[in-house]
Amino acid sequence: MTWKRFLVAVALAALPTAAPALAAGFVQPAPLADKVDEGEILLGELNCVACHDASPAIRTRLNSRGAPNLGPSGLRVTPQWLRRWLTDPAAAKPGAAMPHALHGLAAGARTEAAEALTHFLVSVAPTEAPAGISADPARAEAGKVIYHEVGCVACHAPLEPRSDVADDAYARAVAKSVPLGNLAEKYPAGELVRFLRDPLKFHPGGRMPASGLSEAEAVSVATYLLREQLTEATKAKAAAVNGLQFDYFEHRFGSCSEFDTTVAKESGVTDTITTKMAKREGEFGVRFKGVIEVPTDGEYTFWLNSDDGSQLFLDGQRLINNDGDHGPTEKSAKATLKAGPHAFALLFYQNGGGHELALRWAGPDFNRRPIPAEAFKHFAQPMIPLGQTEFTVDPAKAAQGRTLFAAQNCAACHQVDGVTSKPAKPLLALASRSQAGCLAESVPAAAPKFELSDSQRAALRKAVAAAAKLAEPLSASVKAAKTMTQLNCYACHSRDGLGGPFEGGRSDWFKVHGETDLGDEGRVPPHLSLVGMKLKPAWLTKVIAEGPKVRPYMATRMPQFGAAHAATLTAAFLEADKQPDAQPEPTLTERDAKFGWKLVGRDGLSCIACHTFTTYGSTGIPALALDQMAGRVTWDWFRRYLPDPASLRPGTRMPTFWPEGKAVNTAILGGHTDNQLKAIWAWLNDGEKAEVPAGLIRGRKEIVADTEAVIYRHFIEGAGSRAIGVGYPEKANLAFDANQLRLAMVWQGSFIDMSRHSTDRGTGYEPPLGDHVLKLADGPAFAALADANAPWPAAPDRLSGPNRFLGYRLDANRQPTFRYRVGSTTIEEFPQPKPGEVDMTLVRRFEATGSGSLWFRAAVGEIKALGDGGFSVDGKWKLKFTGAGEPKIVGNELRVSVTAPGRFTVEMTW
Amino acid sequence: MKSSTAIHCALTVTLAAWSLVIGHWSFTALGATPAERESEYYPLVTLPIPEGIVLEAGAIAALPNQRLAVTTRLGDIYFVDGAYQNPPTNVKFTKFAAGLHEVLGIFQGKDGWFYATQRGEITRLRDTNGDDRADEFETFADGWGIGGDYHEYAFGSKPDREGNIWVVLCLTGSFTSEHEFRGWGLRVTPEGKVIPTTSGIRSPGGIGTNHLGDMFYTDNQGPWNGTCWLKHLTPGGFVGNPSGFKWYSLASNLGPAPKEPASNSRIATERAKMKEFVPPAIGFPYNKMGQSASGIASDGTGGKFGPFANQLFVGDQTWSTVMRVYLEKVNGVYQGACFPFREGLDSGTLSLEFAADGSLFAGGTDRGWGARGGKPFALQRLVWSGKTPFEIHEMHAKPDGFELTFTEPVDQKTAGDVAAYTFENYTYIYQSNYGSPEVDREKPPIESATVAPDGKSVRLKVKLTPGHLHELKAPGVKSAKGQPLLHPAAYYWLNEIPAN
Repeated sequence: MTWKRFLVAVALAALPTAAPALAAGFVQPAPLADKVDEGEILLGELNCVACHDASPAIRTRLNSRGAPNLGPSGLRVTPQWLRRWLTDPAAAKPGAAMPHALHGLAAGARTEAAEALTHFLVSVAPTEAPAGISADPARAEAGKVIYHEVGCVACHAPLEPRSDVADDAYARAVAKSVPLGNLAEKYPAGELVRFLRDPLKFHPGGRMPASGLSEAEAVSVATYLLREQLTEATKAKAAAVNGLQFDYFEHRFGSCSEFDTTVAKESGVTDTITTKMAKREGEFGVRFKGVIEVPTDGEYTFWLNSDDGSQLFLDGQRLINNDGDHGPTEKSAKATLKAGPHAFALLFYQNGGGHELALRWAGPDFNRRPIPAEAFKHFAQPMIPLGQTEFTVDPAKAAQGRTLFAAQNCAACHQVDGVTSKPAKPLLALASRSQAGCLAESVPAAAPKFELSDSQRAALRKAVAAAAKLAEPLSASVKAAKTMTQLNCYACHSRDGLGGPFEGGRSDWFKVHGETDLGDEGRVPPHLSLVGMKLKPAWLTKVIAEGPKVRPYMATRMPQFGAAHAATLTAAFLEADKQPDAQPEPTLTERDAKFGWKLVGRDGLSCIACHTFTTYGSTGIPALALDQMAGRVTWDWFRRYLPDPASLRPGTRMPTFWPEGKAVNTAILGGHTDNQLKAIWAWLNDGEKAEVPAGLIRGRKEIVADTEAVIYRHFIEGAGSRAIGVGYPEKANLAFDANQLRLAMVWQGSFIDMSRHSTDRGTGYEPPLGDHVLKLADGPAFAALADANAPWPAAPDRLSGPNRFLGYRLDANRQPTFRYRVGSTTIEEFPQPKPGEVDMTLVRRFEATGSGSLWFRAAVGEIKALGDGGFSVDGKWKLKFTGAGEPKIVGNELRVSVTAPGRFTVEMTW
Repeated sequence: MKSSTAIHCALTVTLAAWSLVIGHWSFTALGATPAERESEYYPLVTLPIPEGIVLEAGAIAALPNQRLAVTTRLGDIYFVDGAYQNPPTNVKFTKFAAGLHEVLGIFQGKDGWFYATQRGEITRLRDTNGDDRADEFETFADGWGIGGDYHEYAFGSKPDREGNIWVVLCLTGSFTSEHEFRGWGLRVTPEGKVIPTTSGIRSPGGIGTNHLGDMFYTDNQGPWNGTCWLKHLTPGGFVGNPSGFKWYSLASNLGPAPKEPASNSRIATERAKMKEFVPPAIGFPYNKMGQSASGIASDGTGGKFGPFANQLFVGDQTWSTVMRVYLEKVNGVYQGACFPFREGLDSGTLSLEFAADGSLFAGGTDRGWGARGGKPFALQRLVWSGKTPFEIHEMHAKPDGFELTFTEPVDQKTAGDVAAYTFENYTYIYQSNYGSPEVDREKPPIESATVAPDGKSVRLKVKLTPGHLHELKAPGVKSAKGQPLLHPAAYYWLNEIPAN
């Protein structure tokens, strides 16, 4: 890995500060569509019309990038970064789009000018300090994952080499990336969080879209991007910072009072109330501590739902007591609170079974909802930007800066109140001057200096010389390609064979969450060929503007480009993808929808085998939700897609049910293809109100031992992957663990629900269905020991050595006798229930054949000898031996020696 | 099926006016579907399954006396009597065993025991008191690991020449091998000894021998599998997916793990670097032949199933089809062609078994993986009608092209015209990512098509590319009787070009 990092360092170092190919004012990571003119792209991305006025037609066509807001609607970046940036933008951030405004000044004067501009910019920046972010390496780790998964690295450089990505592929991806610059110097963490949450608010040009990060996610990503600040934080003074502190415990809690006497295993910061820090399923606890920011004075209600116990404290007083072992239970309480911070603590523990924890509140002016991450704070040392020093605005310097800001025409791009810009020559007037000014080989002092490569300069000159042509509107298909280039849509999506993650060399960074059985469709965003025909205009606009998520399995998120770009792109796609044989929406009837319901369900085409519907999972992979289909796609696309999915989506997993246009299901609607398609469309059009398809509502499927014993070999919770469950008509049940060669547990009442395993793909472990579940200790039931007091061994290796499961025989009542070998001894175990009045007894008859001496571990727990020769365990169940050797208590174990050949009986009563 | 179509046509003519009024609807409904065309030669008999039985048929064994043993994904084993009747009016199901763990392999040994492959073990079971219910269950072999992941399937074969049972073990999920020997093929000797045998498995859908007793399995599109394949299992071989390499540490008989293949490469390239690499024998192009290859049955019926003796039949679960496979060995390596054979099965084809009377049983399920057939489960039987379909019979690689043989003599004129054929070849990216598009496409011209004097074969002169799937279509070829091919497509996966 080290040499890999070295290579990356070399690749990064190879980007000289003014390398023309990269420090070109605009880095285009994805390939450029051949129908799009590079010079025209540069005119827009370098914001040329900000100075060189042009007609509305040209402005519309250029769709310029714009510049970030400065002043009160901008961000508070640090003075140290502003100084460096203004002194030489391309040096501070290779590839920067901003020209060097001060390049014509001598070194000393330039430093002075940059200083004055810095004082001016700080003086007009927002005054309110952002919330601090505590230096939490765990959040940086979380942010690393988010940064590399949600789509940031579609445009920006991946920042971690990967063992599964070739070094040259990695170096290429790094090299062709939109630069980040020195973020750790530039941003106070809270300010970067503000930007990540809503980039368009600060940089309306929309080239940096929002990625739908929650506050907590944005804090994590910011912490990661500013990870160099983590070490600086140790120098900082403690302050109120985002999130809550937590302590995580691994302990079997009896009640919340035990938190005071238990030592935490781990501590950290969390942005929300969650149990994500838990490293195991059961027997853990979490304590949350910090401050809750109450927005307004008034009465608040808190609801605390937990499984198992929990307690909520406000201002040191216990407000809700939801303590003790229990299933999901919600308790609530009211409190009258003043606006501002209040001390907050929450205790939660989990013992066995499922666990849940949720805290919600309602206030004077809002209804019941989860408490947002923004409301939680705690005191800690916050991250501080690199190179931070005391900085006070010098009014004289600020005034000087304001003058400079006007003089250098910064205001042409960055509107700041009270500063006017002065127009340069109009764009069309430059036709004969395309070798001069900004585009001269040697840029005069009066013109801003862009770091252009020779080819970029040549492309720009050509575009400027022919600027008059820019008044003509672009054709729809070129406009779509051009806008996709400007917004770098091609990084994720291909269209008409161009672009997409594979072509861009970044496909390895596109991941699927959870269900991996979806292939590339699960991880790579869809192609956009004919998207104007596929998606309904309103949905298309919404997707581009707001990035709604319809593919829950896809790690990369559709970003939010805002309304303006959405309108432009939607119009271009619709026009470009118009089909001459387009069919309008058909007229649909309720009768159609009835047949559609039949077709999508289990007794029809079983669309639900892959597609989800509202809150119902599919019975297989989680393909796109049926209830959202008709709101998204057009009939015209749908009727073409279903008969031949691979023609519109090569490689798709979606099969057709109408090969060669002929229905495979001839039972519904007479096998008439068009009518079947229409029927499904009618049902889909009912959206989430549509009738639930047959096959999605899964009921309990209890296996009942009626007159004879029943066997169920499957994944049984508590009995391992090779479990053999046995249900007896006496309503006693057991599960034998054939991996460890032991009786794993016994229970009373109902045997088992097989629906988990008999629906869908049948994954995971099913717990007993009944009650009075008694779990026996992990580890083998029999073992050869050096001496009676030797520690009990773990289950021996299954694949080597003599110990093995041999099978079972069924008697006339289908009751099994389990057979297994331990060393040279073969054990036969015949369990039989014997119901009592209240308790259940399981009589286990053992026969050892072969040779050898073993110990049988009958019980583990708090063992007490009872007067009648029996024993009690944990005060919960009892044991009695017949025909066995003298039982021996070793520590918390009850052991019996067994010599083959021999027999004995154990009666377990619980 | 045919007669009802005819009646329907007559009605359409009579009601011509109506047809005009309601538009074109009758055409899509009435044109012969591929399944209808195929049913003339291979009609399907659907066995009625009694209410209450969920027959997601994982494996089928044809037993003496026209009895079947059918195992289910829910862990039952049924005896089916009367399954050979046509129409099947008196089919009887007897539950032989229950509560087993997803049984995907079954046969009756010469010793009388039934050998059933469950997820966790091969169990041998028998009935000792003659009530047709198993009462003795012995763990015959369980030398592999499993967790709770649904993906960790185990498919068990029928015995090979030496009496070994082969088990192919699916990976844990799509990408990893979390438990011992996931992603491996194991052999279990008649004594129950487990021998780690072949690495490189991803996600099998079926296992079976060819007529020579060599063992094959199907592997599905996913990581390291650009499409679905039929692969040859050999001792010490590696068949493509290195996720299970860590278990070489438990396979002392095989020595250390080979060096992992490079991702984002090609099969032919990596094969050249790795002596253990046994390349796929057959490629089933994704979305062209199917989407999830499954059970395998070798036609040992000696002609009772029609003209395809000794060929393999392979299911596709998603497409609810049965495909046909011709294998040949060139330079010691298996390769060959697949052809469409029969579609329109009721559920997702999973298990296939030839019966003593020469018919082919097909079991289906669509649970967890949708299938065209649409029925949740099915047991069906393909019977040869006695009519010979006009098909490409075999496809042989030659040094300078292919030789096609046909089930019927061809028309000299059309079969000798290069314009009657289309040809292209392509391959898949060999990569750790899931699946692959078709890449490296070539369209070499067919230089000549020479018909043998007996009209039973045609020599096509065309450039061959090792490591590519060669897609041949012969829509223009007619039989001597003037019939077009029932299935004009063939897909030949080529590892080696023969010297002569």
